[in-house]
Amino acid sequence: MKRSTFWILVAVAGLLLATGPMLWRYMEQQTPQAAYTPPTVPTAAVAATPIPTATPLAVAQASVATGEEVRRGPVVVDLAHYSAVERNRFQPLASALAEQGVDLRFWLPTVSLDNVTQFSDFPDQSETLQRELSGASALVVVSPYFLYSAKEVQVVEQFLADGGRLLIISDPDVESDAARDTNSLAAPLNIVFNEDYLYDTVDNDENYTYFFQGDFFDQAEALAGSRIAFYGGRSIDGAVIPQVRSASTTLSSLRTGQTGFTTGATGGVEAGGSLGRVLALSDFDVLTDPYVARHDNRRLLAFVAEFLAGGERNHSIADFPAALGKEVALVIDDSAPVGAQGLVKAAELQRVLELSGRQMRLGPTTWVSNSIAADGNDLIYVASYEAAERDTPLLADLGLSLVTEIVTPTASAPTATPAVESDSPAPAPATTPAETPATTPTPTMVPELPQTTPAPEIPPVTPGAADVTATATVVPVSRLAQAQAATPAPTETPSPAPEATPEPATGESTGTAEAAATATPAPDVTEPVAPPAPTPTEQVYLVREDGIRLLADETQLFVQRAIDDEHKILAVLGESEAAINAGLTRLLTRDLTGCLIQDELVICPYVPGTGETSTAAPAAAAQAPAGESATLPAKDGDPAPAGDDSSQAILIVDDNRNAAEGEIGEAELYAALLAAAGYQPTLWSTNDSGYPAVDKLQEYAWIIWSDAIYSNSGLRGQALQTVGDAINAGAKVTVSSRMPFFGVSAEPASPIVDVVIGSDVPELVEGISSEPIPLPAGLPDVVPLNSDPEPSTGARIAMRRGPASKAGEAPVLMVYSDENFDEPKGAKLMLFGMSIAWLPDDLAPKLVESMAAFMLAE
Amino acid sequence: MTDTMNTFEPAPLPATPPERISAWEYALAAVVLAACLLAGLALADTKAPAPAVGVLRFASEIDFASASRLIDMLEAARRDDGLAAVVLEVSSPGGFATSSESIFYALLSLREAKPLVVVVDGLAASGGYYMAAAGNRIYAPPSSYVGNVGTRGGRPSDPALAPDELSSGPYKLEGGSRFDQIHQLDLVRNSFLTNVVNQRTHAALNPLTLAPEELAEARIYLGSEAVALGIIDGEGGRPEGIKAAAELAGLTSYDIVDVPAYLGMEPIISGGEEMVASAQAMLAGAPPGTIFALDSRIPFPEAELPANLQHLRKPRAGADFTWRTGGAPAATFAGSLAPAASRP
Repeated sequence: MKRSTFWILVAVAGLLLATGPMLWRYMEQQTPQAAYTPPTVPTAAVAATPIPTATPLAVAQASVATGEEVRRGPVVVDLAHYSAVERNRFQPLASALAEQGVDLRFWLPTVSLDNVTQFSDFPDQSETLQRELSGASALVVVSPYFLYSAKEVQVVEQFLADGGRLLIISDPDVESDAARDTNSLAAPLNIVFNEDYLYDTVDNDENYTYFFQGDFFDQAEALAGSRIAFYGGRSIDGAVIPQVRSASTTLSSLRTGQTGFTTGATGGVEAGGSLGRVLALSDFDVLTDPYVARHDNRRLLAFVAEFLAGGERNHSIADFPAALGKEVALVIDDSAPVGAQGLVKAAELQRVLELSGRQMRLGPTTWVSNSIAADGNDLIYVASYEAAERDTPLLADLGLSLVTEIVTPTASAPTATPAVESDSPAPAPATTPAETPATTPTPTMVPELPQTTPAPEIPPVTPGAADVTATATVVPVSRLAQAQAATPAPTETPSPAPEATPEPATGESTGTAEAAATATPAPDVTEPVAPPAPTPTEQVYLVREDGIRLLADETQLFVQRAIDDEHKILAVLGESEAAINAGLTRLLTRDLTGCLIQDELVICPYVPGTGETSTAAPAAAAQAPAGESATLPAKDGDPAPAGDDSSQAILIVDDNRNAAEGEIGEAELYAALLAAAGYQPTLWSTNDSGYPAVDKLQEYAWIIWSDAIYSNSGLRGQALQTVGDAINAGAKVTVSSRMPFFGVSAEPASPIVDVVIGSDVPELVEGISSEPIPLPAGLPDVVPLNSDPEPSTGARIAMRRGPASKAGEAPVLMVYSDENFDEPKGAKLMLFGMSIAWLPDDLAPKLVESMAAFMLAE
Repeated sequence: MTDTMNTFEPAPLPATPPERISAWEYALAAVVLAACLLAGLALADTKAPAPAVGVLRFASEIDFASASRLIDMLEAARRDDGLAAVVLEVSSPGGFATSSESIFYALLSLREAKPLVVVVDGLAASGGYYMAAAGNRIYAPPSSYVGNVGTRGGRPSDPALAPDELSSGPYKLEGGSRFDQIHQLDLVRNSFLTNVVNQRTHAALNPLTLAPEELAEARIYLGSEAVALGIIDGEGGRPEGIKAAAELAGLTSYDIVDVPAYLGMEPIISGGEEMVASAQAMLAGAPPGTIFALDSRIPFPEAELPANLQHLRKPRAGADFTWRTGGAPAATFAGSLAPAASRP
């Protein structure tokens, strides 16, 4: 082969080798791509047509409820168990009820969740519930967060037995809802909400959880054929009468394989008298906007409203004035003329009756004595037992009679309690000067303090509910301070340090009485002497035929009897004017706490000398004068009641409930200093009267909450809640406590040796030296107040610990206000983190007077 | 004279010896040919590379960012001639409905150009399954989760006037009435459902046998269940997916490449072990009114309960339920005065 040919061949071969793989690859890749055919899938047709806007229809004209002579009891909605439902969602139901002539009101939550330590600790509110339901037509409960207590269930059961109605709803898409928790109220009424939710993927109102109802039964039969949807609902079981059932295509999230669930039912217990008075529904949304306007949902709303308004309450005395007709006559025992105070009470009665659509006038006693249906009126009869027994058959009809016996009390061993030696008359309670003194001393009365010189006049205490009698006298602050040095620090402080008992001081007081030391008796304590022989006294009893004897002066009765088929008489009876007053107050506030309640007779306790029983909250709705001293009827010679200037009304709460035996508080010192400054404070003892209700506190322009002297000083528990609620309601409160809770720092307790005035509130410390003011030695430790409070509290410091004190510069006297808060209500809180008794004698009166001027200023 | 004249006859030429290719010429030729072969192979690799099956892993919740990156990658893969087929490996709980739809359509577009096989790696729920439905084939291990065909969204609100602004129409601020919003949730679900049903009923290998109404119940199925119902095509993992992709592409020999690396892009992997937390962060950051195609087992983030009310939390129907701040008491003046230690 020629060389050239060879090389030509090599070149050709080389070219082929160089290009062949590439060409071969190209050919190979073409094939696979040609081998792939994408699938042919037709384009999916997705209908996405928006729902056309419906042509608006005119809202049905609401009709005016006619034929209602007397205002019917409201429907009460329970929000106090923290249902997560806004009030505005009840608007459609309120409108539907209004067409039935019934209004709707809310029982709002009052329990502070900060005080609930765990879920099961939610406090019982049966007493409040009882008050809320008095006079009500129906109760509505929607998905409560907290459980109903056993007592609350009993109250509801009784309410139902009296003819009230209940709507109970467990809605699975309400945030507070859990069927098992709603069942705490439902199950005792034979209704059980299941934990499932219902859904319908075939026929629904825009979402699978918005299912339509299929069948209507019993009372709801008139809804047959309606297109009614529930917007998140569950199934209901129990011994119920189904009213509404879901459609056959509706399924359950839990109860697989079943359909036709009950979603609305009536229940109740026949034995308890509640059968048919409970309506259970498993959806709340259907009764609210915007759901209620869809399809035929309004018909269900009307059905529910009709059910709620359809009850016939058997109104008892506790439902005053629901048991009375439109025309009411007030008949007063004519053994004494009706004075100004009597007219005030009558006016209160009239106002309460008018608010419910009733009319009241005064009627003659002959209407009662003759048992005549007086001119078509129901009667309210106010009289003493004696008059009632004499003029009416009321007591006799109940098998009661008045029996007077002579009682010779047993002489009791004298105690070492220091006796008052003052020549000045002991101030008497203004309202009951003619009361027969009790044969046994009230064990809770504050011991009288010894005096070396006549005590200054102390104005009579105006009794509210069980006020402490004003036996306070001015005491030397230094004496009290020394006495206090024996007491340990408050329990909240981490290191209480009990002090040694001091020697009683002598010669330090100038013209003031001396206090009894808590550790050692004062040197001038009167040695007990043998009391005089007891004098036999008359004791009146109410004796029933079966032998039951009631102390007439410690009992107050309400009696309700039928005069004829259509009219009735409601009698308010007592042994004394004070007792009758207490009864009227209970009636006006519908507070029968502590009373034995039967259909026609209510027996309430009354403590003579205190004006009212401990749990009565007089006239929250009435504009009573401060001090609650109204009498009905007033007798000649009674001192004029306390002034009616509510803008200056001061209440001093002596929080002595946890005080040790024999401990004397500083409340009386406050009272004396204020009295000296021209004020007329009212004293309240928590040991005697419990904690005052918030609405009671709101009657006063300034409240002093005092416990700084006591060994167990400290705001906690119910005291704390009461004060907190009062502040949140806009009250002006001074807390004088060594552990006021509010505004305290996290520092440990330490002694206050001296104090200096601050510059933030000059009007509070006017006339007080700017030099450090020493305090007596040996005072108990105090938790320092917070010197860096939040700006929104408007805190100002009026007095601080002095340079010689531990935690120097920490506030001692601070003032807060809610003016910078989101919704200011005019609340003021003054914290005095020590006792007023520790200040020098010349300083305490100035400070208290300045406090009064500051807190009472508009 | 002689008549013979002397005649000249040239002398015969000597014979030309034959050309010999020397040994070194053979050797040189061999080297040249070898070089040409190598050059040819190199040229072929460069100009006509071997077909490749690309594996693209998507392990993330579906939000705007992850969807955008995936769509970019799919588009690049679609245009790249070197990739003969794509295996999409999915591990996703889904996410935004709109993003899921966008990915779905991008995958359909890819599928028009070359085979697409989807392999489920543990989870392809809701929007994740929406993606998978676009594949020629879907493979999943028996224990993986697929399905959850449905949509989610926050509870709609009613139109209300804003105190600080005016708008020109009644639904400018909310976008629609409460029921408009509810209806739209269903419309999005319907699109999702229809596309899935459409794709799967036309599946060549294992078409859907489940009724659309049942599929709309949004159950999550195990891989083994899903095969039986036609929700996926077969049990298997990545190898099965690659094999199926090559088969669909008609390849007998091919390379396997990682698509992000092949294309010079970043992989799309997020969430990972913290998939739930990652999805919840996505939920928390979503614009108001967002409709999600998201695994129903991932809870919506709950409102924080104040510390002082934590002890009052109670479980609801087995799920952790928080009593929301809406029901909690508002801050009070007295509460603001409480000792610092007792305040939340």
